[in-house]
Amino acid sequence: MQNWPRVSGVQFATMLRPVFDPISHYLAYGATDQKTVRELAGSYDGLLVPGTVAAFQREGTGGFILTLSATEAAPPYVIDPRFPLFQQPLEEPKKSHEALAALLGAPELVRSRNPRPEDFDIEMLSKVARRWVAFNSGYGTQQADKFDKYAKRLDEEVVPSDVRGPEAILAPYFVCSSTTDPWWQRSKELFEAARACGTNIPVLRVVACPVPDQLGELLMAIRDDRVVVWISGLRELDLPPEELAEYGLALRAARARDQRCFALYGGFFSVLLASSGLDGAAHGIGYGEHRTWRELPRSGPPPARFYLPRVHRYVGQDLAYQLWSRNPELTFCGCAICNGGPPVLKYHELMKHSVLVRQREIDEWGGLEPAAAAERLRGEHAAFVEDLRAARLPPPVRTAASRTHSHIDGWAEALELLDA
Amino acid sequence: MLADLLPWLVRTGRIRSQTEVVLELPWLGRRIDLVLSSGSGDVTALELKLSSTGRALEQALYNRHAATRSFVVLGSDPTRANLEVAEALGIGVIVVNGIVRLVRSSPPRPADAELAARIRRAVRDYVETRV
Repeated sequence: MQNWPRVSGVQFATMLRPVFDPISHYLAYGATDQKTVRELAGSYDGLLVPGTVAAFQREGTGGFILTLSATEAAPPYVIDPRFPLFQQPLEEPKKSHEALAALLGAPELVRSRNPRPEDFDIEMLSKVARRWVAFNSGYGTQQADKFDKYAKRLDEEVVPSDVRGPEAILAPYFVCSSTTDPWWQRSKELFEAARACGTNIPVLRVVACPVPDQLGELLMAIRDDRVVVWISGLRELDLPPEELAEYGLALRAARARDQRCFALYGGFFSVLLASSGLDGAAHGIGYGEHRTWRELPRSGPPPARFYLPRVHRYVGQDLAYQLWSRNPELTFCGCAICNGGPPVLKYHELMKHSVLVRQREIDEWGGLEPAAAAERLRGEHAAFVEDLRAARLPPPVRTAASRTHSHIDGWAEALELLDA
Repeated sequence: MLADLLPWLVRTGRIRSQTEVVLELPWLGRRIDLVLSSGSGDVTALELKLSSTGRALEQALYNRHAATRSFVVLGSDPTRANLEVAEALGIGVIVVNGIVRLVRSSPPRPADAELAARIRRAVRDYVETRV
């Protein structure tokens, strides 16, 4: 396995360019995404692997990720420790939760009662950090059992000696609301413990909070020049413009301190924040709007929805077909999957289409300053509304159709607030 | 609703010996409440709602593009306005309220060829995996 060299501060920045090279486009990998990830190599910059998946599907996910890392394209990847999972009661823990806790050497992390900061003493945090760093450092060698099986599925020859480990180690973290939140102290201890392991892979801090206006204070309290950020449950489609603007302001202030940020999860609005200081973001394939740190009782692949390019969001395929049948321009997409055709695609085609459109959005919108992006959004929104009106949709679908674009003005207003 | 509806569909010849009957057919990211696929290849889609007639009509409209016939099955008589919408869109209306009444039929219409083939395949695949 190729090892990352030990680095100084300057080399650190150079080596990390894939994650923080604006505007990086990472995919949050799920177990059903192998086909999409494999076939779209080159249409995204890297992968974000959930720690739960990496722990529970060590052979499957490990084999897949590592064979991919040995290819010519070799997308870099990082593993999200998903540690906020253990910051909540898990009354019906999944096997992946238990697998992650076991991997961290702390099965007691899975609790049915509400955890408290006092449950995480320095001894436990140090152990968790050590085990996590060791898992990441040895990822390439420990998960090679299924290498041959997954190597056969690729279109090129790969060999185990070309396998690469993670690009960086994301330190375990907690979701925190402020610097006086007891979880913040624990989060800092986790990061310091991970960094103290002395690995030759860069260790990155994750700053996670529940609402946008908490991010600024947390970022100001640290001196890292590279930070992974996450606002849990950031509902880009629904939040008031002022709250979306708070996110942008926090990023802008971070950029002014030469603090570069990468979003652990983000939709199209995160692309619009590139000029405000977001160097990149990850998104789920087929998911797009947000992810929350509270675990959902069910899991599984995302629903089969169509990413509607003109309004930058997912809609039901049925509705998309309705719109297309009235006016193909409403759903037009020239990506290699859609080719200008009807928006009724098979599951993996939907997933691939969503990734290709996101990359195009990054290419076309990522460099725009807030004012220019706002102006373009408003112009395109007006055109879409006019096309919708001219389509004379039947009454049963008019409400659903109006919901498809109701968020655009809010985004434009948020950008205008940033420009003010 | 189903307990009254299914026997009625048999009595009225809409379900016959060769008809494949599927409840909750996965379709384009959602589920169609009831799908009948005849031996001749005609597909009838039915959306069942005790209330929310508007939502039922929306889903029945979506089904129109793949199915030969599309119905809403309601727990009470629809308003005049909803009935006019259903008529304009070729959506049939059945009311199940103790007894089953066909309020208006759904004229057979050619569906989108690809969607029609796809829904027939979906029915076939669904039935085969459960046999």
